[in-house]
Amino acid sequence: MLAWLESSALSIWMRDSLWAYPIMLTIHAIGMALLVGTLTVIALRILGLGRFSMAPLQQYFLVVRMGFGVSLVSGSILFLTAPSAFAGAAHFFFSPSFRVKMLVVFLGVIIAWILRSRLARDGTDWPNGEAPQGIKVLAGLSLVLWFGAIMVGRLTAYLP
Amino acid sequence: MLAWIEGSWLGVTLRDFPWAFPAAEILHFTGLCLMLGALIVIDLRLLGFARGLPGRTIRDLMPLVWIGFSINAFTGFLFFVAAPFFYYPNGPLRIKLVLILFAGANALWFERSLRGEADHLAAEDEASSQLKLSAGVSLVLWTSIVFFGRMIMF
Repeated sequence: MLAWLESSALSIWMRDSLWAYPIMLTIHAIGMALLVGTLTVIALRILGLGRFSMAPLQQYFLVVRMGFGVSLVSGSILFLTAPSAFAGAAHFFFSPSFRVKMLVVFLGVIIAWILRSRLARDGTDWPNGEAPQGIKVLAGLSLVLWFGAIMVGRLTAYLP
Repeated sequence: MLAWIEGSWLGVTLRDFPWAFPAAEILHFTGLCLMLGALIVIDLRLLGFARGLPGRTIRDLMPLVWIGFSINAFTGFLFFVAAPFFYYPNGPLRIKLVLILFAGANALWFERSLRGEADHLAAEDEASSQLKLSAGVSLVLWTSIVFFGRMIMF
């Protein structure tokens, strides 16, 4: 399966083209900024930053989703290629740090999902716009997970 | 000059610790997310997305922009000091720095001439075309800055 992925047309094109890999990395970074950046503002607002209303802020989950889509697609293509030509998809598949990143991202997506549905359900009804304690814990957890994902993601370049 | 920077105490120390560079990179990505996140929320609102956010939201979010920018200016400086001979002639870095100057000029225009209007936008108000222009320029420039920043290594 991994060998088939490595010999796929997309994977070969990514390795043969001088610019495909850097450009895909760049797109991955922009997806990250959209996803983590916007989610950070939402989480910080839940934790008490500013007094602006939660209701319009929810619309930014669209940006979060777009960022996730961009990161997922570019990340999958990067997975096919891996940094060194000889490694290919097996490089990431067997990499412990990459597996940790995937786990952290998976948990981050679940928390973001719960935050979004709780905000949509009763985010506008909170007295003084103050979120309940449970939601604040989730928002804090979301910050830890996503910045953790960035940390581990960067470390995949250094660690096995 | 570059040799002096490379041989400086800070340059030597940064290269002596193998985790110093990755740690600075992680901080640089973190600062990027803080800054871009706040700018995306502000600029998209000015462009007409998420009507319902009042203009005073900008005052709440501006500290994030400045914290993110400061983290990245500092870590960016560390990268340069650790490897000046790599960064000084680097094309993408030069383009990135010029774009940051443009973004700074745009921010100055925003703060000097447009901020008063922006801060007083009511929740449902539409921004003036000048404000929209400044917000659009900000988004395009900062996205390009991330792009060229990531290209520095290639």
